[in-house]
Amino acid sequence: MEGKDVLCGLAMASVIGGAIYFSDRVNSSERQGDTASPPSVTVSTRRTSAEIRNPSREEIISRIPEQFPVIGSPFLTEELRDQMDVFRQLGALDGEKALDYLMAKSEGANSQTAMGLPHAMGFAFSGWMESDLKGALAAFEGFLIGGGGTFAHPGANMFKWKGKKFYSGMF
Amino acid sequence: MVNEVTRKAAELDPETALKFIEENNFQSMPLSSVLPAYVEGVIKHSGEAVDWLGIADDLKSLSPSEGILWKPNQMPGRRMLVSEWAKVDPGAALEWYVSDAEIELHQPEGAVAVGRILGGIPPEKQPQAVRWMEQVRDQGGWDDQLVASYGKTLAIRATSLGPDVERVVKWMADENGRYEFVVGLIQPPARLPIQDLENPIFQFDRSELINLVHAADLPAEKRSDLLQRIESRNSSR
Repeated sequence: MEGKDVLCGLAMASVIGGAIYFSDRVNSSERQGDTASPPSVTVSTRRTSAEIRNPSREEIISRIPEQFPVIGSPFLTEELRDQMDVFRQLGALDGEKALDYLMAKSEGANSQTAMGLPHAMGFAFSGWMESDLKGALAAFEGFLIGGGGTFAHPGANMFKWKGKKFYSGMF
Repeated sequence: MVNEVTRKAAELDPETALKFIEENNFQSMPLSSVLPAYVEGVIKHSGEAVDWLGIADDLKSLSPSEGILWKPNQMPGRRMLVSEWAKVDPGAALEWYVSDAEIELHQPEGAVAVGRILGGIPPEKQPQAVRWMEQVRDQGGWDDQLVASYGKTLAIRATSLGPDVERVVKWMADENGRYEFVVGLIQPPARLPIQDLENPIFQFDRSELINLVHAADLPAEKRSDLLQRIESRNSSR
């Protein structure tokens, strides 16, 4: 498989050189004058509440990426959670049909989309749960299947939706 | 993906989530991500009225009874629980954690774990966190790794330093430890998703770092080196 992990872009800032400065303790007035912060360069990907409240199906579908994000850790960054939110929105709108749609979209697709399918479906389940918790969890029964050996227990790395099995290699 | 489903279930209805986890009979590996997700969801569900000890009981009831068993300090979800609880009530959270997870503060492993939790406590609760550290210190102390780990976590998460941190650095017995503690805060690992290398952003300002250098009570040579590092950092902005 040629799936790539989605990495959060972290840049290392290294600073070299400069003047030598020797000082005693800094008093509070100097502290105040010294605290002017540089302009922020962090770009927020979070959408406004108005944008995410009631998006149309067409809008949601248009935002589903061709390559589903592949999640390599159970602990999601806010940025990655934002990326996955489109799948939650689809699940909230279409319930079971959202999972059918994602399953169909991944068939014959590249390996990254296939690898990202379980997580995309997990977020679709999450959205479905918002409108029908018990129904979504009932549908989730049988979604997790063991893969044999070390991964023989449900929840390991094999999934099944409406008779079709697929593999993630991740939780 | 199982953890996302669990987290949402717990956020919507903790009892249903509990039943979901029990009925799926998850083993150790899936549980290691499912339990923190359960904790996260229940906390979100509870809003201002979190039953911290109730969640702790849930975690115990969900732990596997066969197969790979966890030591008390390895139980998934417990770290998430204490970290979130400590943001609200550091003293109670840490008392519970040290006792319930059988943490040995004189051992590096336990000291590092607790130092990480302390460093993640928000600035407004840092005085309480440091007061707890002081009580522990008075009662017999800890491995210095606790303070080192506290400093490393501050470097990643904190947005300011202050008198509380200046007190803590003095509690490290080892001179090199105090030096490394300050170095880590002068040049912390980048933590912003996007950082402009031409104009790097540092979360701690010059004055509070200088105060920390002096609080560390180091020999002149090491003190000068640290002050130079601060000025080098600032002059490159």
